[in-house]
Amino acid sequence: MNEPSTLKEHELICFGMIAEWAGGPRQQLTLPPGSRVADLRKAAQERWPQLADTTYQVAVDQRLATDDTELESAREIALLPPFAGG
Amino acid sequence: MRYARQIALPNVGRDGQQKLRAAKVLMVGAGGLGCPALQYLAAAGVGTLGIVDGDHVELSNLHRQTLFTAGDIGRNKAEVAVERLHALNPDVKLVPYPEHLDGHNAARIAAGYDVVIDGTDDPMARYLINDLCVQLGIPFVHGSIHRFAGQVSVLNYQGGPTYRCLGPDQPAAGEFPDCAQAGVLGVLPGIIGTVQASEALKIILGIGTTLSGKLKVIDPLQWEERTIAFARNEEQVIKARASDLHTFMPEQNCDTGSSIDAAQLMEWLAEGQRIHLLDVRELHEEPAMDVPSVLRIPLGQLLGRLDELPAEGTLVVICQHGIRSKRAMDLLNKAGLPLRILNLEGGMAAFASSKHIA
Repeated sequence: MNEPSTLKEHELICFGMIAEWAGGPRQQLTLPPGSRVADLRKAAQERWPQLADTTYQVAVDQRLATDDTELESAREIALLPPFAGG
Repeated sequence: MRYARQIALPNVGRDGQQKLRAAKVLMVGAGGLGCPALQYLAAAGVGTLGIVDGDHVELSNLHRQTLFTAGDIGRNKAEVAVERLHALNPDVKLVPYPEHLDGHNAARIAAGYDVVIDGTDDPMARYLINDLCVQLGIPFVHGSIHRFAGQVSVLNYQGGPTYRCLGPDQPAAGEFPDCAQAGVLGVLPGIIGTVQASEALKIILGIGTTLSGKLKVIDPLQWEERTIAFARNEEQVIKARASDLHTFMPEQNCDTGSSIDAAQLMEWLAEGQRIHLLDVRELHEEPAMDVPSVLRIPLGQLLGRLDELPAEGTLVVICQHGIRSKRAMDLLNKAGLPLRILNLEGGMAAFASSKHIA
């Protein structure tokens, strides 16, 4: 495993129900270097188990990301749940 | 004179007003999003407005569905909306469709419209609207809300991405907290619905920059807002083109399917009924169910371990809140097992608390 000093703290912005679960839109999540969106999803789900029940999208620097998008140079990661109401 | 302030805009003018008069817009859902969108589109002089809604006005709609009054309770929303909008602007041709959009009526209703606006509260209907619009070549303006937040995008417009490009994974039935209402501040659908109307007017007029290829997400409670770029995904567009609209049934997400509540399960267990229990939570999740012979298979492993399930009888599927278990039930039903499968409503949380009470 990586030394803690090499961990990177990422800025998250959460919307909708994810912001409710997280206790607010602005959150931080620490990930090892070289992490991708799939790793972020795992870490986020550990912290907010409700995510296991949710189909949500991840955007990196205001661009929709896929599971293999790298987070190394990410400035901001957005977690976007589907909105149901109308 | 009615449109003088609008015609005065340099990029609208008489030509633009003519474009609006010639335009046909279909609003799917005359609810929180539909009411404000329709008011502005009718006021702007859009020539034809079709309104699809099979629901009836309820008292709890009135805090956000601004076309309706207390005297309308019990009446069909599409029909009431047509009356109000006619009073607002008699120039507009208004066509009510007092029915829910579904796989059988969608193509008939949408044929001939230039723009569709999605104001439904049913996630499955959004995929129907998407596939319908892709197949008919109609752009549509997506909007949806949750409590204090909402999103808007312009889809299937000038070769841009579709709704499926935004979220290839269809949310599972039952994933949303509550079809009826998670609660919403009345003004929020007003904000999102008017943004949708604004996008529809820009499409008709051919002015400005639309939200095609962009998802606008706003949270006015905290004033957080982002515009997320996303690309067209040809695989998803092909899926939309090939999709059989007849498979979309109305209010699929609201169908609770086969479920039992915690009290019923307690009763069955107390009576010693022969039922099988399947817990689809991760193995570390607590509280464990202190009932012998609970089979534990985490949801992610379920399809690979179907051979561990009982061969026949009744299987009650359990998770923490009754959401993952609903998804598991859908998977098991699709797998066609010779079992009667029931979802425990409210999951272990409900079971544990009803046990306290008992």
